[in-house]
Amino acid sequence: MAEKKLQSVNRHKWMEEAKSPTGVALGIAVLLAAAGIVFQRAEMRRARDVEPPVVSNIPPPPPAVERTPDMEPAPQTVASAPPLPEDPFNSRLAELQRQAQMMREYAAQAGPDDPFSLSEERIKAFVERGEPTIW
Amino acid sequence: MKTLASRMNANADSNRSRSGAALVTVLGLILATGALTAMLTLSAGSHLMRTRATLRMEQAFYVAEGGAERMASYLAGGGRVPATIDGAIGPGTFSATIIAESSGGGTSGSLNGRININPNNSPDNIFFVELPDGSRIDRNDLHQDRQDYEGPATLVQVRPKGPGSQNTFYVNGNTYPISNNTTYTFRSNEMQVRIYNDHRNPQGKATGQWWIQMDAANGFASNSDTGETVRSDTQFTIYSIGTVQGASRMVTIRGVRRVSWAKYALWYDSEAVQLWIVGGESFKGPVYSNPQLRFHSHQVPERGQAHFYDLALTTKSSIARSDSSVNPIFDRGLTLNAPPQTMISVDFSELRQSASYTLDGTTDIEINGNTMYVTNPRQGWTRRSMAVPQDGLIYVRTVSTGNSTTRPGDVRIVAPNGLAGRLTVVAERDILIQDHVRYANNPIQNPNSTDALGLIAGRNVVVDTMAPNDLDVFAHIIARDGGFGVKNYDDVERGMRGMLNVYGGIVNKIRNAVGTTTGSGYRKHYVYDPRFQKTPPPRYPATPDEFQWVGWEG
Repeated sequence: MAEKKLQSVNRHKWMEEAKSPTGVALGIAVLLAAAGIVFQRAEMRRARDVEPPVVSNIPPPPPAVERTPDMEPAPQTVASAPPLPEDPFNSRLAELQRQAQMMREYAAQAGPDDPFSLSEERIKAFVERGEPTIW
Repeated sequence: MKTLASRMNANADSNRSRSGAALVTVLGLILATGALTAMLTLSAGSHLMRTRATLRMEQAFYVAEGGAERMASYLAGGGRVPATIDGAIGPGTFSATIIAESSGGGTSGSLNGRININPNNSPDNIFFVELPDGSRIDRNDLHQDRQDYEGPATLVQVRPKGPGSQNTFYVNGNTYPISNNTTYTFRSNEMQVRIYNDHRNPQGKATGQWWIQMDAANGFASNSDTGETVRSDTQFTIYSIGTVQGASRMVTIRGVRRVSWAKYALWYDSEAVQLWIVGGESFKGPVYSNPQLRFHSHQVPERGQAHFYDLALTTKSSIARSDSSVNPIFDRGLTLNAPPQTMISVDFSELRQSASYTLDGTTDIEINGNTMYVTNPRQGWTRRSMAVPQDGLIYVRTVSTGNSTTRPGDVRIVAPNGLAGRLTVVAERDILIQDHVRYANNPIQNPNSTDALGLIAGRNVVVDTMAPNDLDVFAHIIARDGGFGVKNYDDVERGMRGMLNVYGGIVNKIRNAVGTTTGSGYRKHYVYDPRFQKTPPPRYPATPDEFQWVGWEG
């Protein structure tokens, strides 16, 4: 009973000491220290979160443009040759005819003084040889 | 009872004494914690300051880079040089300036006098001096504690700020007015400068205005009002200073120049006939094709697959192969649906302006080392011996009067013993190759060879009928409105003419024929000359809106 009373007296004394100016000062010091830690963490977080503002001035990307059938397709890169088209070649005859047609068109457009213009006789001779491949 | 009372008193004293000790311990711990926290806060604050300083420096670097890029855009847009651009990016400001490294215009002569440069931290003015050792003094260096500088300099760039124009600078003894908001470049290899402040306090601190005094017997002055004459091959230097909250960084891009057409191994916009790429063909520079690329199995077993070592672009959505045995190799990929390009930047009037010689009508040129023998009926020249103009350009134009056979601006060219030097030959109509065209110092065997030839024709570059079999053509070739090809490529009576060895590159509007599978013309052996990536033939035209640079410092 006496021991219990003694504990009660001691607790009372501690509370009284805590209310003293020294206690108040200590409490404030603890609060300030805690606030300092919180502030420091907030500052560090702010510093970490700062994005280089250079980026912020870059205008936003232009709005997406709807593709229309007459627009050119976007460039694309392929690492190797795509598979053969279904019908990659016309017949040899058709290709000969196309080559002859292109030769005539070129001669007509470039004129007879162009060193690459072929005469009609030469074009016919080319077709008669039956081999359309030119490089 | 007494005993109990005295025991209670003794306990109370003991408890008081223990609580006092605990209080002191707690107090000590709190103080230690507080001190530790304060130290940590101080340390974190110091780190934070350093982080912020680093951040500002990094931001200043990116701002400087942004300024340099804006200056490159200014140049691409045809802006005058020298010039200064100021602006803001995010929290920073930049001041970017550009000068031509090799000047083509402005005023040359003696330089002397002084300019008030009045530097401050505003980006409204710019000032820097380059010293012979490559170091710089710029406006950020001109602070209160900076001592005057007196000594040699190679370059002064200034855009003064202050009231009114200054008339205290002279070029060739004549007043060279210095106006505000105009950028000036002064360049000389023998310039002495003095950078000084006109008032210093007793402690020696600069409290007045800053001036630069220049003195050079031979120098060069240019300004942003009149600009310098620049060519497609002129090189530039861009300086850009970025500043963020007092932190400054400078980025310097040296050797900025337009990319020349000589970067292409093969470029064509259309075809005279339907042309195939056959086995053994290889391309060690970029290739661009507006028509569909077509690959044939001819010669694949003997010479291997066609091989593209560099970029390959076509505006078409697919390629064609003659059969499944054909599998061209694209080391850096094949770009389909590429944006179309044009040769509009191959400007003959600009080429003519930069010509070392301009000749009228049909001309024969035989090159032998650093000598050329020129035949031109309109000049009355028959194998006239002339020195090859170093880094020069010969321009042959079409005329509309006189003997009709000599009117066309055609060049017939041969160089079987090789060209020693760097030369570009321009013909308004055709260039006809009638014999080997080689270099005196073969770059295949000696990559350090500086011999270089450009052949630019308004229409065609033609391998003529009298050219020998197994022909060598060492040159980069441009046929602006026509193409490169072999005359009588279809001549089966003459038969196969062996190998056509082109060491250089070919840019043509209308690609033309070289040979056929029926046994006519040449087989092809085209090798790109990699030296042309960085050093094209003289005065070579530039591709539009494309730049490259030699060095980047920052």
